[in-house]
Amino acid sequence: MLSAKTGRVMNKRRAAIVGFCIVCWGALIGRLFYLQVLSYDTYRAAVADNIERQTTISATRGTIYDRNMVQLAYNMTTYRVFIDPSRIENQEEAQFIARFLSDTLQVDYDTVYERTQRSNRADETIKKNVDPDTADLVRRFIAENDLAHKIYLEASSKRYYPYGSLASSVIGLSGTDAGLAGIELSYNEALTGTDGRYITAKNGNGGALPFKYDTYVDAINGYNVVSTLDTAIQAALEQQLEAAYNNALPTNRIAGVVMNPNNGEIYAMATYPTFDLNDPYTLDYDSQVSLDALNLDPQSEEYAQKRTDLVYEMWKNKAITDLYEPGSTFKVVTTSMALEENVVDFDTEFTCTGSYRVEGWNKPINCHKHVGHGTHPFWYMLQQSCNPTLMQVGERIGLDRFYSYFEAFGYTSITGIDLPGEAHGIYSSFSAFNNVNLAVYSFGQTFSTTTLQQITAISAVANGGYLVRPHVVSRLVDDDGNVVADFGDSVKYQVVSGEVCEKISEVLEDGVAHDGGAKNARVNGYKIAAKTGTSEKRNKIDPEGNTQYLVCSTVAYAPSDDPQVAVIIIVDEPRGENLYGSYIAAPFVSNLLEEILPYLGIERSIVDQQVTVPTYVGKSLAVAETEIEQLGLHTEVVGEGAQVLAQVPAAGSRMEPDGRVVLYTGAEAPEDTVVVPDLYTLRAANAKRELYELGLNISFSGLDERAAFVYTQDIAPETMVPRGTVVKVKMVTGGITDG
Amino acid sequence: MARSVKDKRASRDLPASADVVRVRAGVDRPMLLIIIILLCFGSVMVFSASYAYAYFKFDDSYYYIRKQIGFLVLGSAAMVAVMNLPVDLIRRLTVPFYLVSAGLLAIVPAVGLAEGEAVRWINVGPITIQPSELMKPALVMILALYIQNHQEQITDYRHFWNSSKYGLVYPSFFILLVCVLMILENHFSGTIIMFAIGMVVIFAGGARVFWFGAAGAVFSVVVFALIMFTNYARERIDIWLHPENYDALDETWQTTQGLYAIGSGGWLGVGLGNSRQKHMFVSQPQNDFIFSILCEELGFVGALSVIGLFLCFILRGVHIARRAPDTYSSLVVIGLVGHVALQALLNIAVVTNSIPNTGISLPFFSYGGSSLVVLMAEMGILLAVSRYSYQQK
Repeated sequence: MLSAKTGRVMNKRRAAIVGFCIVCWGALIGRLFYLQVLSYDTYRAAVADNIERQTTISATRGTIYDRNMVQLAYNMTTYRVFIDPSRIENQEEAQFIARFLSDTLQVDYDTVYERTQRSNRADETIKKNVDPDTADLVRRFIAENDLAHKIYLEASSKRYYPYGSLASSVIGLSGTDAGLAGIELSYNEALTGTDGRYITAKNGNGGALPFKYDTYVDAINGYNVVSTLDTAIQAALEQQLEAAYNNALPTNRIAGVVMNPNNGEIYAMATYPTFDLNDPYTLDYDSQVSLDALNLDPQSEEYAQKRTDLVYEMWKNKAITDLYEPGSTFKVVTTSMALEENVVDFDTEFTCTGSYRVEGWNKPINCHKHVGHGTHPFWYMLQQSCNPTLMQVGERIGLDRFYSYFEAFGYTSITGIDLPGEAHGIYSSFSAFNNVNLAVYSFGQTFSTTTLQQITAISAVANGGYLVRPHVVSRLVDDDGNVVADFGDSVKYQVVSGEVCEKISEVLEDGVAHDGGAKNARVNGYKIAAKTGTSEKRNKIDPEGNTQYLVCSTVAYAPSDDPQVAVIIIVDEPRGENLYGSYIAAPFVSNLLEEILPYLGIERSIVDQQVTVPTYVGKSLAVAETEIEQLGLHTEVVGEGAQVLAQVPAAGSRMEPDGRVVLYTGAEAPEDTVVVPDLYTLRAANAKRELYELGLNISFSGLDERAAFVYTQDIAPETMVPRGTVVKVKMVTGGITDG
Repeated sequence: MARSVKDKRASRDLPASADVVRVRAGVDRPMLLIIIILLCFGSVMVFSASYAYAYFKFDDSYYYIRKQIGFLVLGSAAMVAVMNLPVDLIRRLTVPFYLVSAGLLAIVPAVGLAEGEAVRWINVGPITIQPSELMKPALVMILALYIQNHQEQITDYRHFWNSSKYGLVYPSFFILLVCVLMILENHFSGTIIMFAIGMVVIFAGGARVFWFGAAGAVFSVVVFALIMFTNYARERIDIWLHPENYDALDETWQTTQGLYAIGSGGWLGVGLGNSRQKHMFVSQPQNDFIFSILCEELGFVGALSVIGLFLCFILRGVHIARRAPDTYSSLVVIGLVGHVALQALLNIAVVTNSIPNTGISLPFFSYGGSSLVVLMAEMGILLAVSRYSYQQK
């Protein structure tokens, strides 16, 4: 029974117990509040980390197209084939696998076999970058022989450049996930896109969860870049750069740009020697030679460093990263200033005595023609590229005006091309600009600019005075073809008037067509405006310390009365004799224009004596023979039939009117039976005779004067060709000096 | 207060026959309701927490809930049966019940020795009996009986030694016997619970507060010394405070994953049935760590409601104890409520990593066959006493 005292005590004790409980539970509530409310984010993340398995869905890098939507760079799926040696059961199986993989993947059998023996490993790579077709063979082999956990394929994406070295320095190259140079770098953000992810949930044992947890975030593919490049023009440019390179063997590469002078679209831009985008770390021949010449231990750090430097040098887009003194090609710019300011006109007479004295300089400044040009109108002096004349013109323009035009033509800034690494020219500040600067600037010396800057300035003269922003990308499009960004409009402002430009174009064209210093740039049938230039590299002297290195260049645009294309080629540090832009660069500009003007659909405006061979195939022999005779050509028939089955030269070929057409009427087909001779330096008549004796045809291009000689031929000596084939030769003259 | 003292006095003065009248009165409705809510809530949570594990383990999501419902039916029968027993009968069965429980508890280590490993169960035909579960009410009851019989001496605080002897030393023998048997079973957490329940009853029975203070002081000194001077204790403390650094250990893995579950619940939880952590992260989520899944699914609000239910249970239990007809029934109720409260408190403290991990289940919530039946039988005793709690008019 309950006593009163016990009752009182027990009441107190119960109250104490209840109190204790409340305190404890209160503490737990606090603890739960801390865990669930205050630390929610931490634990939520921890659980997500626990259960989520995230897979990245790579966004596909955009494709780079040329202007005609030809793919220049795209992604290709490649596979890594690897084996799990720890799962290979016995020697028989190891040999079986090794035999198959070595045969299929073209890997040395012993190497593969050795890998199969590394039984403590779970991932031994056999080959990377395996193409999808080969990967399919491996996949089938795995399925047929039940080797699922022994051989694996791992897909990945690889950037592929179908044209290899074509436009390599413009396209640039891409590492695994980011561009390293060129368009790949400057448009990296647009090309990259956004990776997506696939999030799924797994239970503590890695098994699937019964509820729906999957989250799928689509990858947003990179935009496709449509460049202004034209694969055909690019190829033509690179072909001429290579020819110019082989001709002059320059020690500091060749750069060339072909652009639309009216809107700044770059049709082609190249550096030679260059590199293969699919094999970007292999040095070009010259670089390798210069590296080997250092006699370094290939294992040494110094060698590796030097090699890396050379690789980066090779990747450079010379036309925008390297500076040079433009030399005489700049005279076009000076002339435009003078005409615009009305300080001279083309009929103004100037006298050249072979040198000119400028106040502030203790020596007379020489003309490239040391005996002097005599007294002639300005137009003639410009065609002859007379330095004293331009110095006098510069004087008339004056310091202020000259410098403001110099700025307006863009020489004190960068062109703003959409490529990385554009170099900033080196020039005098206005405050330091004096008479002596003015004199030498007038003919393009002592300041430096980039190849691209120079052709941009020349383009302004070509297009009627407008400075444009050169660019290599015209628009961005998404995978559905929608235009995301358009970079069409690129005219910045007008520098000089259209009339001035027209006059200059006429004078330049006249010089090319007749006896100007740039006549080696002539292209039969087209009005070409061109100016050559040769400048000294005053900061670089050869090991003997006597000869200065030169830069020989030529700028041109055509047709001169309605320019559609502007071209520049600069040959940096050429070797040999006759080192003038007119000889080292101009003929290649001519060859290039000869190829790309018809390609751009520009008709020949000047009729010449060459004939274009029509189609005879399919016609009766008699009709063909009559037609050929009417053209003044000769006929050679092979076979006994009455129908023409084949013809050499092909329809559309241009050739001299006294050549021959070989018609095939029987079972015989054209065969490569004639060896093309080396025509270099031959006069026109000799070259023609030599080819005709071999049964070949000739097509002259360039100069038709007596002194002209064969400089280049489109089919290399020693090549075997069918009878009747046309060999196109470029006729030039040497000995034209320029400044 | 005055009135309640008067009540007690009144009930003490009532003749035995008056008890019989009140036996016919109904059980305490609020308590019954709280118990039913706890049981339902618990069963829902057992199902929710167990189905992923059951599916994984037995390919049958309903494996545990089916068994749980079976035990619930069995437990309900036990509860109804017991709550209709007269308290007098219960009191008379106290000593035999204690002896049988102690006997069974003693058999377990022997069985364990025979089988070569420590066990906590004995199989009687198809039924698995966990004697330690039986021992909890048995200990409460025997202590209550002892205290009722010696209440005068215990509360006679003028005689320090005498009151200490009757209030603490003698009843401690009942507890010590049980604790020794539990330790033989290698059942550490059970030992603690048993000891704590015993202490609650002794405390409620009026033993000198001095001894509890002294025990607390000694305990603190010993723990402090252990932490200061032994690496083992320090390491245990470090594991407790930084379980995430000891992932390799099963129990810390469990603790960490439990914390993830609790913490990721937020205010309102991820929704009933939507726990992510029960999918093989918290292992055997239907057992000791069920509260973590509850927290994850129902959030802080859900956890509070569970705590609220337990607090209601405690308060109502104490209310019943206060109105109990005699010292024995009052202490039995206090002991049983204390058992549930302590276990819930310790379980949630463990799950929230507020104290080091020991294997203590959450009453009404954790899956556990025979212990549920025993728990419900205990609730039967509690409700049986509540019949007497109604104030006679």
